This record gives sequence, structure tokens and C-alpha cells, in this order.
Amino acid sequence: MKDIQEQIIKTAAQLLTEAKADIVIGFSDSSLPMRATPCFITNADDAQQLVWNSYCLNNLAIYLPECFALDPHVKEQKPPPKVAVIAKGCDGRSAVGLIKELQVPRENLVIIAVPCPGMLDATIAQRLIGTSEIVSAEESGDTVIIKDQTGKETKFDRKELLAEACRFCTHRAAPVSDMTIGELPKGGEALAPDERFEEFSKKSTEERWDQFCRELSKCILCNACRSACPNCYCKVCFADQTRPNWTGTGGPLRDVISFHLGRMFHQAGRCVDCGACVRACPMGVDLRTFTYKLVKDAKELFDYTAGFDIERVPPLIEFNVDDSDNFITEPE
Amino acid sequence: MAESKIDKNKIPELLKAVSADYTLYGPKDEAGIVAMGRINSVEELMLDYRNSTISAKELFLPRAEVVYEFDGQKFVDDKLSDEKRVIFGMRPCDCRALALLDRNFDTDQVKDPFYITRRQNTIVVALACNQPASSCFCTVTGGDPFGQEGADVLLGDIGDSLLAKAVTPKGKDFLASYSKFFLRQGSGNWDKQAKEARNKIKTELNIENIKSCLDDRFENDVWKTVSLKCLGCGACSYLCPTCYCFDLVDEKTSTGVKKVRTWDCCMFPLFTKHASGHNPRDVNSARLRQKIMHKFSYYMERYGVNGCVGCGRCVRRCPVNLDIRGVLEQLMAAPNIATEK
Repeated sequence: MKDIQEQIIKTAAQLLTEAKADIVIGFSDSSLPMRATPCFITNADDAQQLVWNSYCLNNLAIYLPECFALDPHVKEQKPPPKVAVIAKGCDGRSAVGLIKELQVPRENLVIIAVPCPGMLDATIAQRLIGTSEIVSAEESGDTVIIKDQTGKETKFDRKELLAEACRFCTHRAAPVSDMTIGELPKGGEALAPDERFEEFSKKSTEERWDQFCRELSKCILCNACRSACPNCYCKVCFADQTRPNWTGTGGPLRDVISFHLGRMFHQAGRCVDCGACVRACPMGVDLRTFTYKLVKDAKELFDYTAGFDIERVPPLIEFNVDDSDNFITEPE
Repeated sequence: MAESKIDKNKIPELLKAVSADYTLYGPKDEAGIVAMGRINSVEELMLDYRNSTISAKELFLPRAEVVYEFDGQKFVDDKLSDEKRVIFGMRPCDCRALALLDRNFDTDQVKDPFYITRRQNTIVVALACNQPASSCFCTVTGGDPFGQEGADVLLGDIGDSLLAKAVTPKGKDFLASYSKFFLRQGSGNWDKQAKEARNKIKTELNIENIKSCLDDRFENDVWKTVSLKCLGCGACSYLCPTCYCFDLVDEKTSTGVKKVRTWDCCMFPLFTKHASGHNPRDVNSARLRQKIMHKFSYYMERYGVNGCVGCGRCVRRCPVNLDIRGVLEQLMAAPNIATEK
């Protein structure tokens, strides 16, 4: 990955020097072990800050709409910038969604596709280590050696530490790109069958509803899921509207559920299963089981997977007479 | 005050006795998250923990609190909760947070009956922190891993037993009523432990002059830089033990209406939106500035202390690793030139 990192730095510096990009969005070192943090490079000399490692988890597409947002404080808007983004498969898929939904002008976006090995999740690692805090982690091949506060070293196969979305990711390369660094993985296979999801989808409607309510009862309505989701770019989220007030902001589970049902339904046919919402959640709510159901439904009912094709009309925007409708006429 | 100690084997017995007299709260695992939850059986309580994922402020400022209710004919008689509680094993940073909240909800001008009643009905038994995390910075903001501010009793883990020290008269009474579980002790070896714990806090940051520094940089472009990666979510505020901002909302009931006080957060666009539609903090940088200024300037101005206890929850749980320590460093390092408008 060091090699990829060098090339990322070189490419970023070159794009900025040649004015092919005004800003490069990538990752830099973070203040915590086993983490990287999003960074914004506008000066070629600062490109050295860019890193590429197993912790570049965030979906950077979240920052794209804001780059092109109008400045409310000036009358004469600057022309939209040229924005380059370091893209894993999921960042790339989200970028496709944003282009499709006219949130990002394609011509101003430079998608730099990089090979993603699947990213490691510090929260999962910490859970496996226990109460002793992780101090550092080193990788050699597929082995990750984690050192904790007591000085103890524990060896893991990197597969054990993969972020949940990465475990089941089948598209590690950005589907659309302007530049490529390294050799992009072709397709890919999920590491293991998603047993938790399979179990959920086998349940009856009542049992699924119970699971949904039980899981969501952990939610504190901090909005981190919404804020981390590249699809949640609405200028005013329905949950923030006051005329009328669609959801309450209070403690009752009812308010929590109406927010999440609203947010999740807005993801139907759009969610690219990047897992950003799950990782952002401070309370460990398993949102993915539910959003993944939407991904599966879009695939099974409309043969549509979000984030791949800029041209194809999304299923919920288009009507065909032969559209699947048995979920309306013959609900379970 | 007199000190005593309790053998760790005796703790379940003590907790059983306490929970016969009080509702017991303490650190427990709630589906993978450590929360200051209600302890139904003493085995649930975990004392081998770093700190709870979410702070205990919810026990004093619930996420939603009915301020009053009108059933269509009359106001519903609302009795304040008279639940007598013991919170066992709270960390000193979170106890100190209560002392900070007291400054806001229990003042000469303002007496919040909900908060004050809960505070009066609660005995806080703190557990000193032997293993601060790398994200902890209580000593930077004026706290201490062995601090006792805000607590009624302070416990310190010395291996086989816990040292106990009464901090307030309420704490003294508490220890006296359960004295049969404790051994009297001349003076425990707190100092060495406390020093060791203090040395484990590695955050090197001097925020002595933070207030004037922030005040000078209110209009500085550095706010735009530091807020670039901020997602504008409320994870930091909602986990924070000292963020107390709330909203008051009217909710319809089947026959009338109730006024509910809910948590709110200055990072949300709706927080300052006026009825006219104008929003004085219409961009993320202005909202992050408010959050930082409130903690490190306005709180200082009003109450003479920083509004941060350095528990590190926001550091650990920020989805993009926007580390408040780094933000303060960047702000202090920014040139003191007000940006020309």
C-alpha cells in the first residue's frame, strides 16, 4: 500500500500543479490508532500529507455536494471548482449516485480509482481485544499485529478485522473513474454469506418489525448516520422540516422509528451499501441489516444495483408495466 | 473526612443492600455499548470498564422530558420523580460534568426543578480512573483521574479492595449507613495511585489562554479550515457529559398538548433557525465555532471554568476523527488577524 500511497501523493501534486484540480480529497493520518481521517489538499506541497492504508474507511463522496454548494454569503458565485477524490469502490459508487442525481457536475469531478483491499475497523478490533486499549497495529501480508496498552501483542488475520460492509463487498473498484492508480481488483466476492441478514430476511413481518424496533431503541437521534451518508444531501431533511413537523425530536421510540423509516425509504434503490451510517453510529445500531434489505429488494424486484451506471434510470423514478408489484398485491 | 475500604468480594453484598434502599444505576453492557444503566441484578454492574460510551447526563437531563401537559380541560398534575437513586462507579470526569451542569441549572437566577430534584435524589459514588485512555484529557481542562468534584463518595481501586472517601455530607451519610461492609482505614495510599493515573494522560495541550485566543479569532478563516471535514452530526454533543442545550417542543396528545424538553445540538442547522426562515448560523463552520466557543469561551465567561471535562468521548466517537484537541491546537496556532470582510 506504500507504493499506492506514493502514487496518490504524486498524482495529487500533479493535478494541483497543472490546475487540473483545485482540491484533492483523500486521507491523512489521524490522532487515533487504526484510523485515518479525511483531508482536503489544495496546495501541491501539502500532498505529502496524503496516506493510503487499511484504515481509510470514510466514504469521501459525502464531501462532494458541499464542494459545489453555493456560498450563501456572496452575491457573485465563484465558478464551480475542479474536485479530485481518491475513490475506493464505495466512494466511486456513491459518486455515481451523486452525479446521477445532479448533485455533482461530472465534468468538474476527477475520480481517482485506487485498489481497495477492504478496510479494517478499529471498533471491531477493540471489541476483540477487550478492555485494554489498542495502542498500535502493524500489518505484514494478511496478518495484523495489534499491540494494546498492557504491551501484549495479538495476531489477527486481516479478514477478522474487516469493516462489516467490506466483509460483504463485491465491488472493490470504483465503477467510473478518470484516473487509476495501481491495479484495480476485478469484481470480488463476499468473504462469507451474510448470515445475520439471511436470518433477518427469513423472519415473519412481525418478527422483523420487532427486530427493527429493538435495534432502533438504542438510537439517540444524533443524526450521525444521516450526516455520514452521501445520499443524505437534502438541503432540508424531512426530519428537520417544521411546516409540518414530520417527526418528533423526542425520546419516544415512535420518533426514532419515524426518522429511520423515512431515512431508509429514501435509500431504496440508492443505497450503495458502503456502511458509513453503521460506522458513524456512536451507539452501535445495526442499520445495515435493514438498508441491505433495500439493496436486495432493488436487485431482486428491479434488477437494479445502485452506483454503477450513470445513464440508467433508477427504479423508483421509472415506471414499467411489467414492474414487479406483488409486494403490493400479495404482501407477506 | 474519614476513609475506609471495602474488599472487592464484599461489593456484591454492598450493592444488594444499596439496591434494597435505592434504585441502583451503574456501568453495564447494553448490547455492546457501555451505558450508565439501571442495575437490576448486581452481576450486571461492571467495574472493570474504561468509561461508558454514552455519559450519565441522561439520568439528570432525559432525552425527552414532559415539562407540562394539558389534557384539554386542565393541566395534568405533574409530580416530580421522587426516585431515590445511587449511581455507582461513575468516572471522575463525568462527576465533574455534573458540577458544571449544576452551575447552569442551579443558579441564583435559575432553578431548574427537574434537574435539581434528580440531583438531590441521587447519590453519586465515583470510581477513580486508574487507566485513562489515550483519548482522555481531563487534566488539560482542569480535572483529574482521581478528582472528586461533583461526586458524593470517591472510590479508588487498589487491587483487592476499593478505598472509599466521603466527599459531601450526603456521601458521609451513605458510607455510615453501609459501614458494616467497610473497614476503617487511617489514610489510604491515594496519592501514589493518583499520580500514576495522572501520568498516564498523554495529551499535551495547554489551554490556559484559550478564552482570549478564541475571542480574538472569532472572525478568523481558520474556522472554515477546521470545520471542513466535520459532518455536522450530533454524535459529539449527544455523548458529551456537559452539552446541555435543549429544545422545547409542543406535542399533541389524544385530547390536549404537552410541552416536551428534548436534547438539541448546536451542530444541527435547525438549532438556530428563526421562525422567519433566517438562520444566523447557516454554515457548518459557524456551528462548529459555536460549539467550541460555548465550551471554551462563553462557559468561562459565565461560570469561570471551561465547559469541557476532557472525557474524550467526542474524540473516540467522531465519525471523521475531528479531534477536539487538534482543533484547539489549530485554533491557537492560527494567526491573530481578523479576516477582512
